[in-house]
Amino acid sequence: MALSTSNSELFAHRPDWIWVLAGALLMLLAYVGITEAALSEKGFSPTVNDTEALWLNERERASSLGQGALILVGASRIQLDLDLRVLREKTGLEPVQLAIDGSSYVPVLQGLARDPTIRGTVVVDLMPGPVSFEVGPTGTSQHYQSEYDTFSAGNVRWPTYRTLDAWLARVIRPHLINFADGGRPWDSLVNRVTNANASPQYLSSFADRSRQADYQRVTMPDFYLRRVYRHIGSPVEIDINQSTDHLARQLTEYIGRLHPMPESEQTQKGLLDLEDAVAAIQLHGGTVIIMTMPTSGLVQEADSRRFPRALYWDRVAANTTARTIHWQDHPGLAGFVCPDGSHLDKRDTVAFSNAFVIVAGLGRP
Amino acid sequence: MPFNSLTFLLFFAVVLCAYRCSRKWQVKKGLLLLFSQVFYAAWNPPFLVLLWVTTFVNWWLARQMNRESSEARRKAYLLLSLIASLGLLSYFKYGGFLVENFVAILALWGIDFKPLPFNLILPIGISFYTFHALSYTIDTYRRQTVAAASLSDFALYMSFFPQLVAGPIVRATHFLPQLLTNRSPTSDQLGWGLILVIFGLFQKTVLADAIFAPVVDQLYLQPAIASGWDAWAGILAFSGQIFCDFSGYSTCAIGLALCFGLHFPENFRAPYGAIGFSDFWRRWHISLSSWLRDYLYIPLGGSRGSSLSNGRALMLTMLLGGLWHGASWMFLLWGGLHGGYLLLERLTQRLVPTLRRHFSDAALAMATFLVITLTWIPFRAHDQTTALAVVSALFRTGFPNLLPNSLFSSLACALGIVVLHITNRERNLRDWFLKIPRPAQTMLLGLCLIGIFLVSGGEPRGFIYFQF
Repeated sequence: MALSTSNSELFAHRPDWIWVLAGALLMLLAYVGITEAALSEKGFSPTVNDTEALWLNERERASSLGQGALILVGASRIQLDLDLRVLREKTGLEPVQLAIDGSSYVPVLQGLARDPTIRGTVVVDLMPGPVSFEVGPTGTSQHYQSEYDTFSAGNVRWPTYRTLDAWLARVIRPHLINFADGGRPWDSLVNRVTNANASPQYLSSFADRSRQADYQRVTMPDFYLRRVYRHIGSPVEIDINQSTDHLARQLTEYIGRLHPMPESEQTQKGLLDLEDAVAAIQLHGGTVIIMTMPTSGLVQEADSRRFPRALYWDRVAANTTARTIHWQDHPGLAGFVCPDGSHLDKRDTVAFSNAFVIVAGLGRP
Repeated sequence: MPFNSLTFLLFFAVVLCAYRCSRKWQVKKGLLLLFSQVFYAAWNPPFLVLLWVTTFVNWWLARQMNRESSEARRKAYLLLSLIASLGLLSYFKYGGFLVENFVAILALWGIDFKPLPFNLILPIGISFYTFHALSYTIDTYRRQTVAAASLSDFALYMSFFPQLVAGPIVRATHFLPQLLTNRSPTSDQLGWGLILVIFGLFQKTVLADAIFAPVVDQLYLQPAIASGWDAWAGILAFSGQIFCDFSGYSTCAIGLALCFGLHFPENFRAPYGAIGFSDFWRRWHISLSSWLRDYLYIPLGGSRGSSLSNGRALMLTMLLGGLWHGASWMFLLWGGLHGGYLLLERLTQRLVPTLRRHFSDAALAMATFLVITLTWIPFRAHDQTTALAVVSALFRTGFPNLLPNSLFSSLACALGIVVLHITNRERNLRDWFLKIPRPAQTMLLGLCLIGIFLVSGGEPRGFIYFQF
């Protein structure tokens, strides 16, 4: 703590600071070494961090690739379920992963619609539910898109040092387990190094922004039930810490009581907004495919009760000029099980991606 | 680039290597000047032009003043310097504020005036380099500058990267003489400089950003739902945050300059150990308060003359000091409150011996800290609605919304800083550090490095004083 830091008149003592600095640096290196070893011992490994800079790079590629781009828009489902290598090989197009985990697809799709250089194929992962383009000013996808808009309008994104900073972070951090999964070393220390019951690292992120989930590394059905609980909005009347059997029963009962969400004026407006975005991309020469990704078990049950297909998905399909794909309509896509109810296991993504290419008619001629 | 970024780490390593590899002083100064321009351009390259214009205009006017014997002409040159420097500062920093208030005044008269949008980006560091430039031209006018500086020396004074964007406000009379002789840092200076940088970064990244900022942000984002616990924790945390953020920057700046053999004056001296408000201003942002004292308060009459003129000078200085932090009525209010405290303190000076008989120094310091903490509320709040909501939350009952970890760590750190300041009011960091055994020094520094590592990984949070 700096009480005062004057440096002009206080050099009466002349200690050799090199040993103090060297000792302190050794302490830091020892800490990093020990925690890296401890994390590795517990089965954790380094990952690429899915940062804003990475997304901006991909967004630039979406524009520069022109008709050769296969642009994926959505959230975690399309990011985890599709294998980019398979898409590249089978379609001859260059996949560009623009999905953002846990964030709305709307700002990204609107950005693509505004951009006349987007002439590729855009695949939009639409989650079951009402379509609304009324997004708030905050949120990761809104922020990323606004950064891209500034940059693409010919304005330099201030401050300019951030580009170099992002590059340096990309060079250093993917090699350290302390930074795995986008966390800070503090998070690793608290949640992984010192936590005997730490959740295993089941997600892997890659430099092309694709991700894979290995559900064999997590404890089932607890992991699945917790995902279901979050998916239905973490209702306060359900105690997440009860026994597995009780939790499963209570979740099943709760979901069994769910009713369809009534449509509103906004629903109709959302459909019109969606079609505006689709039409704008088509006008540039692009193609749009709107799809809904597979779900299983209680997640699927909850979605179908809250958002019945006739009220939601069918209206999307009826109101858009885009190609629409519902996974339940195609046996090739319907035969997969999502271990957590929402996402495919990494062992299924190749087969699913192959099936998707066929269903979407994107195979090489 | 902020000091708490990977880019700066790389930048500093390159500059230090280049500096130490050069032997000639002219080359070393040239390198520092060049790299300082790169440092500034890393934020916003076009604003380099503004820095160059301010530099050249003030250097040329000071040169004319040095050559001129006629007092009237010298005064005219000084006036030009004031107009040019303060004009630019006013345009960029206060233009929008003035237009907004002009529109509000017209609206009171029923006139609906819609001006063109005033969307200017505030050039980073403009408040600091403007004050640097003015210290040079005013001192030249007063014939207090040792010698007329060359353009390159003056440009280095204006743009030297450790102090360019957030101070300390180094006086020309302090810095320019150092550029006359070759500065080769001793191993002691280099080592202590690096230690200061580590301490500064620890203050900024661990204390200000990781411990205090989340508690402060939660309170000021949603004061309406904060309990009394949250509100008190939030305002105490802001006292800690603003100190650690700015003192952290100053400590880094002083340490970085020392790595090149250059000395900066101290900017903070245990401010939360202050007994009374004049004592606080002798300890907080010393380079600004002494600047305002020498270039504003004293020329306005200072402590000479009647109590009324003395009070007027003091209040005007504090109001302008508040406004220096930003174009907002809240900063003006903050400056006004401090002006009021200083006036009250002067008027009740006779009571001080009685107070000291009945209360210990620690109790008086705690009382001063409490008032200062409450006075930070308008400084941190963006508008009066938020400020009033925070004040009303201080009297609210109920359980804290903050997580126990955040609540207790921020309270403990804030109170720890106060206790450290009270118990080390007259002690220097170097003295304090030298008094502890070598293994403890190593351990402390190592823990600081580990702390910095632990909280790294996210987007670096900007220094609060960059916006001023």
